[in-house]
Amino acid sequence: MNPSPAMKDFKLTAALTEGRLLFRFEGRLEARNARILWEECVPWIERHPGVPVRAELSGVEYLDGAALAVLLAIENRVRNSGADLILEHAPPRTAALLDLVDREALIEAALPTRSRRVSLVERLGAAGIRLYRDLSFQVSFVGELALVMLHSLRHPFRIRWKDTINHMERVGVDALPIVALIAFLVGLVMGFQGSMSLRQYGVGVLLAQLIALVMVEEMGPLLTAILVAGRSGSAFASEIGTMKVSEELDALTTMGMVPLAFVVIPKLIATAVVMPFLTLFADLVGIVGGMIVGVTMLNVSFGGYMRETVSILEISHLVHGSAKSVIFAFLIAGIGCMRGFQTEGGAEGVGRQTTSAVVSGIFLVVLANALYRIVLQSWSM
Amino acid sequence: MEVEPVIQVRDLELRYGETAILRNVSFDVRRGEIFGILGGSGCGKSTLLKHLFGLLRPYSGSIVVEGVELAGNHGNALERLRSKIGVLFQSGALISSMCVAENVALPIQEHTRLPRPITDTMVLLKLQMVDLSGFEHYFPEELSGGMRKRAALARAMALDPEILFFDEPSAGLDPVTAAELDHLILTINRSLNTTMVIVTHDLDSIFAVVDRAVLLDKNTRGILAEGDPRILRDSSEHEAVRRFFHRKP
Repeated sequence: MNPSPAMKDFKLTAALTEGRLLFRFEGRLEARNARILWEECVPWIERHPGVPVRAELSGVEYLDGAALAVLLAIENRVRNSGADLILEHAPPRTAALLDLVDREALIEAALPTRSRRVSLVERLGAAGIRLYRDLSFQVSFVGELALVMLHSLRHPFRIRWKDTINHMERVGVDALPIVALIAFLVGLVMGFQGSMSLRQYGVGVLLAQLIALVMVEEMGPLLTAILVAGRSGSAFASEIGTMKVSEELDALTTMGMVPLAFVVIPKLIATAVVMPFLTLFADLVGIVGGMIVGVTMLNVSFGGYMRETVSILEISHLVHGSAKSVIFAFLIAGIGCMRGFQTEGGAEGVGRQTTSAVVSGIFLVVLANALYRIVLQSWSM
Repeated sequence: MEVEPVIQVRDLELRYGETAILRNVSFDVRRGEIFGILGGSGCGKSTLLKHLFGLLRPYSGSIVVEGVELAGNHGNALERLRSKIGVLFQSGALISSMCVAENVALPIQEHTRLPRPITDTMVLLKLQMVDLSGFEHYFPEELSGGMRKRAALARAMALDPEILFFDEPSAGLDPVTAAELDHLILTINRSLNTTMVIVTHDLDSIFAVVDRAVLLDKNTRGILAEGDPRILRDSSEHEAVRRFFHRKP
């Protein structure tokens, strides 16, 4: 007999007698000493392959699932070497645990690996099916949304105005500080960049016109839209996604409500109303950023800078900027809400769709901005 | 022979903001028993349970679990305690991005350094115990409510905890599945001597599994009765206790 070294809670005595390997376990066999138990038993089995094993359990005070897993793993090894393992004299409590499980099934079963190599064709096919489903969903969502919007226009009293005002505050007022900061910094950077080139040609005063046109026509609407997509588009997707996974949308349907009208219309209206104002605010702050550079670095007077700004800007520029911001608002709110409705599964699904809402929102904004410019250019030619 | 208490609650007061949920709550949970926290909706059962496993801090009073005072101590002792307890949440609370086997393996990998074959066998064993063999690689969203609950129970028992907490284990289950779960709870309790604390108002489950219980009262915000639910049902002098156990309005 070779007793194992002193251990905390159990003692293993192993011996080879009459052509059998005998393991005698005493004490507590549990998760915290399961590893030691495994490491004590395995060398004996490896030194005596093909030898039947008897495990004597009468001295076991306590045996938990981890220790049982070790015994099963040992039995598996013994069987692989062509022998058998017999568990003997288990005390009543241990016997009850052994009765709870189907040892044969556990020894035969192996936890299958989930990952499987997927061929390129299979991946392309899966991606194609996903794209097709996504497009079908988008088409049906846009169609349903159009119908709900028409209905809301005909019955404006049924729109949830309180929610709409709350969303205006969240999308618009709450975004003012970050829009101001980003627009100011963009104006400032454009001012620095522009001033360097313009000063070389001695036309520093034209910086005001450059900043005003770029901010009002392009940068103002674009950067506001990107910020709103990041702040509010993601919020819409996660809010609706969470409602979907917690069956709140189903509850609305069962109560006879149209989820699109209930959750989407207020967000859509709120975003479309506040976006032009946010854009004008961004334009103004961006112009101030550029003006600081013009006044301090190019020695243009405050009055002169303002005159140049006002002289270049026409009402049409502001109208174009505002019109674009309304289009962007519909795209951001629409895609944010749609991704929310597409949510499946649990928390992970919400996260996936929230990311998708921001990425798709920004992509659509940039695409729409380019198309708007191309259409406008072709029209004026 | 007096069995040692594994949980001791003394003069507990629980609050949400300024609102008192429970006051002057004191009781012991003995090792190896199935202890019920009973009461009507909104009486603070689940809140009390969350305090017992250290998820919430009490406003005042003392909760000692396995010798660890939860009211003030939130350091290493509480972390060590977490490996000795398992919790079955009402919704199951499986991690949605992980399959069933990964969910069950999570506490094993976190608290032990067992070799992979042992961990895998433990996962299979726990899933077999809850009759979920063959569903190892299903995701929570692909399981029915009862299966989700059984998978969550497998995860809660992954480390053979000394104390198992159940929040409404039979909620949302059909009577047969609920009875099967009760049987499983009893078997685990009897074979592993696991102490169990169960929040429920399912009378069938109460009489089937609970050894001793406290009945909480929404009006007094305290304990209305304590003892064996069968005895309370048959011989309590308190009208509200009899009404609860006989399901009378």
